[in-house]
Amino acid sequence: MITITDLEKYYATEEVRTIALNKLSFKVNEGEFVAIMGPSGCGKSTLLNILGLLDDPDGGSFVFNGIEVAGFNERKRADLRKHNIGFVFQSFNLIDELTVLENVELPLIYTGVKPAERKARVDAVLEKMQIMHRRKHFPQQLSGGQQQRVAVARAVVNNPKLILADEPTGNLDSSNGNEVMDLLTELNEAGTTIIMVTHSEHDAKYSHRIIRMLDGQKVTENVLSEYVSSK
Amino acid sequence: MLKNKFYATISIIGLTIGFTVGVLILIWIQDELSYDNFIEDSGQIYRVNINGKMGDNTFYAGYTPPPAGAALVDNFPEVESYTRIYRPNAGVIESKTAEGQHLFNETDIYAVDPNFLELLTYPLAKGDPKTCLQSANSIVITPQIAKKYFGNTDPMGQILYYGKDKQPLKVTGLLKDLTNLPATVKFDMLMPVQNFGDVTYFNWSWVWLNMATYVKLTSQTTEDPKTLTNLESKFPDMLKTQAASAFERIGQPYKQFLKNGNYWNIHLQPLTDIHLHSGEIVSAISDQGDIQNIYIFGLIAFSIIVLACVNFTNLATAQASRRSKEIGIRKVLGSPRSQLIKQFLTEAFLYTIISAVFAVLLVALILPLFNSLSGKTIPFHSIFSNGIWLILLGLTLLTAFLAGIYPAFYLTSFKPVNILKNSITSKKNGLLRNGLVVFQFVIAIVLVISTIIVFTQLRYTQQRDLGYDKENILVINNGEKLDAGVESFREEIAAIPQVEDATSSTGIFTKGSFGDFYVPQTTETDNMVAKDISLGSYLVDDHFISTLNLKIEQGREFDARFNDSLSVIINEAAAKQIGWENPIGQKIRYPGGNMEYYTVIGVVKDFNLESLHSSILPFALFSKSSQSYDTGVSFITLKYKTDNPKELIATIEKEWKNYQQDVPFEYSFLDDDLNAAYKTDLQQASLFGIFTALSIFVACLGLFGLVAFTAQQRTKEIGIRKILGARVTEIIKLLSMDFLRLVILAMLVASPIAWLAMNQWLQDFAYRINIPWWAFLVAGIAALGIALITVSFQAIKAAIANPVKSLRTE
Repeated sequence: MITITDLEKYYATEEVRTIALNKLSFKVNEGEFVAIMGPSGCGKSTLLNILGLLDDPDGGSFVFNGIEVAGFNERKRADLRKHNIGFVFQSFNLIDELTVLENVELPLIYTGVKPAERKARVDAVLEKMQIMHRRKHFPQQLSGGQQQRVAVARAVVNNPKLILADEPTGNLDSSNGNEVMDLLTELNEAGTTIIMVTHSEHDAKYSHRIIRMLDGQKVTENVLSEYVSSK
Repeated sequence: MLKNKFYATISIIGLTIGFTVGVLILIWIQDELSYDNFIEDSGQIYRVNINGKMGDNTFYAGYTPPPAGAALVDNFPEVESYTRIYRPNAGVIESKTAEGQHLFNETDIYAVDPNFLELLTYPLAKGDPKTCLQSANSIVITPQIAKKYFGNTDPMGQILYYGKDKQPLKVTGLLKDLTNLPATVKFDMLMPVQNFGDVTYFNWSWVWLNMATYVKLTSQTTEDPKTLTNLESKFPDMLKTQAASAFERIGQPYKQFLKNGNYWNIHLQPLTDIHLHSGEIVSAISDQGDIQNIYIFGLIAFSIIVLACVNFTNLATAQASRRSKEIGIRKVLGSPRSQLIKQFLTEAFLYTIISAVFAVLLVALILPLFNSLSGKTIPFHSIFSNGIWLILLGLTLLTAFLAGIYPAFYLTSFKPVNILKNSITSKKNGLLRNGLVVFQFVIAIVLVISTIIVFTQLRYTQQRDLGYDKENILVINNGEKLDAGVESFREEIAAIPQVEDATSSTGIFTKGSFGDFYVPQTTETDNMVAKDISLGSYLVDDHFISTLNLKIEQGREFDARFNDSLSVIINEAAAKQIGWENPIGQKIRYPGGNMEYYTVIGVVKDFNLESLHSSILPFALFSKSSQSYDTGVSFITLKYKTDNPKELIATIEKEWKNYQQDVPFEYSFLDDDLNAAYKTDLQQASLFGIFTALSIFVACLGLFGLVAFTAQQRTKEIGIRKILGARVTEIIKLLSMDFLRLVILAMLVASPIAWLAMNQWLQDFAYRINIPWWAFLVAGIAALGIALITVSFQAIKAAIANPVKSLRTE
């Protein structure tokens, strides 16, 4: 599903040019659950932004679903993104001024889904995440675990092929964290590809494969459980 | 402060504009209010006005019959003294110096009683106010006139020659420069009134209204309003005895005159009220403004200052949650509330004082422009006199206090725990902020609608059909100086190929007319005396109607084949007022002349003599051959067809020199003269327009700052939305709609206010437009457009920002 080859990304300030990704290459198959680990500043977040089509690489190739997307402009990236990718963040990134329901509904609005269908799909996903009863609440009225469930609901409401999770349990206690990891596993088992950045060895164990990074490069790759493509 | 450079700049620009406009309007108002205050004992000096009704005509004028002043002093001990002023027709003044002869036609010569400068203490640079006008052969001049005729030589004791007879006048007084003096009566030269035969001739008349009379009352009288009222109540009885013979003489026995429902009342008006409180009282001698303008501009100044202040408060409050963390930390660290409030107020004071200093500099910079726009000559130093600087200081402190106190108390009232937990969103004071935005735009939109309507009305008045041709019409003054040569001069002019037609007349549009009372009668033997009618009139030759292209509706024009010396052409308004359905052949009697009868030979379509402020009045054209009266002036008016009027004028001037070398050739274009009547209107409209533009600018500054703030506050939200697939256009729409909704609300509030205000304003015009619906539409679109540009600048910036970065700021 994803093939990156010799991917490069630099950050330039006035004096120094920092290499964030240094000719990074790997492949992720459809239906896989991949964890990316590494110390702070190793380029994990940069990688995730490029994979999430939020940022453009400075070099190398990025093939998403058989299409070369490196060099796509903002509009093309946004179109591809909103139909195919869901995001889960460490700090949830819910919009405070909108209710749970409105937060979850947003991706559907931006992909042009009709109101009636939107309602059905939001209800279904809230039901599935067991937060239906809080749908009229505002994010700040919810616990961290609940907020992250809303964020997951928002990430999957569009039935994306890929979910990118950035430290999804970083702000949660262990029981809430486990719940979220269970949710992601369920989604993965239902066929969604997941790429997760994490510091937590515990969380990483939920994945099929761990890619470890240092200084913008892949250092090791451990296969935890053999993933067999359903196709 | 440095950290918030952006907000600091916006706040200071807004306040600076607010203060600048405030100061400019304040010194303008100050100037308007100070008229005639320089005159000593101005509180004891009153102008004698007359309020009369004759037939269907009522009037209120700042004119008095010549004997009124003396009669008041003779009859009432409360009246200490009087002085009179009369404005004669223009006259030629000549000087002979070593450098040669200087000869000019002067329009601002005033004829006054010898005690004029004692009572109305215009400042003299040289000469004695008690004696300088005592001798008939004396003249008092301004420094400008002295320079014009004598160069740098001392003018005192020099001789000026006046008029056709070259009467020698000795300069006995030199006035100080009157340019910056706020005076209702301004002049270039003063001459003793005894030189003017028309005044002495009418010394008996209680109906000849061409002079202004000022009286000085005793201090006891003016101290007690009751004494004053009591004094005025005795005037009618005095008139019964004093005016009786004069009314008898014009064929209107005074008792009968009163019985018929007419009146003739004398009133006293305080000198210092003349400039602003004259209302309907007409005068061509005094410069009379309108107190309403003071209110209007005062209101505008106040609005703009409030706008700027609101902006300042708004921006400060908008930063509330931005700075709430800082305050939370300070509070946690133990800073007492009072100290925090002090910090906020200090900041506000700093901003306002900087703005006030900028404003003073800006005023110095644009005062010349403001003067030329407002028709004033206010010097810069007036800002430091008359307490204006005190008002500015007060305004500065008040603004600082108001703009500082709200955010200060608002921000410091937060509980530090809540702030640090970030549970305070700016939504809580959103209502106030939004209210303030709406308020600003209401003011701005009201001003925009008003400006559009004001300019539409002015264009309408300037383009309206006046009832005659005003294009390509040249008016030559001083025709009377040609004496009997005027007709042959006219013929010479008419013979020039580029001249289509030429006429001579005793009056021409915008330059005044003769007015008197006439008695309409069906036949000479008809004793059913109809109501008197007041008619303005010109004496004209046979070419008047054709030259100016007046439309004859009934009958004929004056014609050389007839003897028209007892004929009259009236306008439709006159026929209507008299009530004649078929005026041709009817007669009017002229008691003011020799009781002669004039037969109506034609009716001319109504035309406007002056600006469209005044409505069409009953008017008549008499033939020059009637010699019905003598105004002492004459004009030659011609219609030309040439692309090079300069050349034509040169030709005519040459011809003029052949006839009259002692009088300068003076001319004007009729359309220029007509436009001059709208000069004040245009000045005010331009000022209005400028203040409107400024208020919009200030409102937009506020909006700009607020949007920037909101966009910044919603950075995270925008980032999230973009990650979820929102397009740039969707983000811009999201950010703009909130504000545009406010602007639309402001439009809804502003429209009825503007409608009411403008409806009121239009009442002043005799010919007015219907308030155009499109003014509201244009103002609305303009406000929305300007707001959209302001908003979208920030919105686009926020929308195209990289969402990854906006989330990283978390």
